[in-house]
Amino acid sequence: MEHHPTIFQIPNFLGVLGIPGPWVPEHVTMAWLVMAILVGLSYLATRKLEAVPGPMQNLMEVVVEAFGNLLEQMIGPKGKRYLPLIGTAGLFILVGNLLGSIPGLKPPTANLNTTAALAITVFLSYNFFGIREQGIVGYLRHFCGPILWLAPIMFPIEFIGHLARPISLSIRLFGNIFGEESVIIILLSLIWLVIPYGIYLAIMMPLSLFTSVVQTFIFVMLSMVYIAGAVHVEHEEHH
Amino acid sequence: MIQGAQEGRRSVVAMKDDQVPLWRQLAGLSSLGITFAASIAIGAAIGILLDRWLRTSPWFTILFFLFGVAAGFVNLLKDLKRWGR
Repeated sequence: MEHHPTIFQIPNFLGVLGIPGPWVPEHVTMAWLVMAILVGLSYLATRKLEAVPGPMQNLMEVVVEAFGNLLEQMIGPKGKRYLPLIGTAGLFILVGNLLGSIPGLKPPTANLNTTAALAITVFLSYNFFGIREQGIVGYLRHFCGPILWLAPIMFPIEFIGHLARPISLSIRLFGNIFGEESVIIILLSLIWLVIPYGIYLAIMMPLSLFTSVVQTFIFVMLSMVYIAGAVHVEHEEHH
Repeated sequence: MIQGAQEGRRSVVAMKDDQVPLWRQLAGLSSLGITFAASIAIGAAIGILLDRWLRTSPWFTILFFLFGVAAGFVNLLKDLKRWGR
């Protein structure tokens, strides 16, 4: 499995910080590309806002509204407060995943460092939100369970359970995207002629588009569940 | 006119109400296995680090390994209760 470089690379201007190699690492370059795309789109969409939105503004409003609605469904009427975090993470992951479908580019989310950064951000944020809503004592009381004398046992159990969340978030996203990328690369290097490209276009391409969207959705959904669990006082189950 | 367009768009954007629980279930259930494994690994890691720090060789490893397993099962049961209807 040979190494395919991406179509553009940035010379390593961060060498003074101790980052090795002649080029900036690929996933970092690609993450910057995703940021550039998102910033550019946002700029184009909000350059001149109108009451009757143009196509660009319309698209962005739909996207933002979709996230907002989901948040209100999951967290409740105050859910829109968390739109900046969830929306940013969701859009970054979605655009990042979809970059994998463009030949010559690689998804930044196919590297554990990127997904770990996202998952740790979500982890710290939902703990912060929980403490902000309930105070530090109220939030920590959650960890101790309902029965007082069981608290010394419940606390480490809950603590470990919470620590497992960012790990599962980051590894699931990384594993899915990286695995999909690897399968495509191996498939394309198996045999020559048009057969692997036919398989790629017929099977892997739709599959990778599907995984991209579903993984984004799962990440966003679980982040919302975690925030809801931290913010609510043992949130009421409405089935 | 504009109001109508807004309404139409909203109905496109908002997922149908009966679809959201399904996707929530997908998100929740897809994290069962990996959370279970991660809990045990984290418990063992904490135990090993504590032992190395305090030089009390097997004890904290055993204790926190058990805590990790317990955390895995607690999370598993909680998630199943919440998602697996």
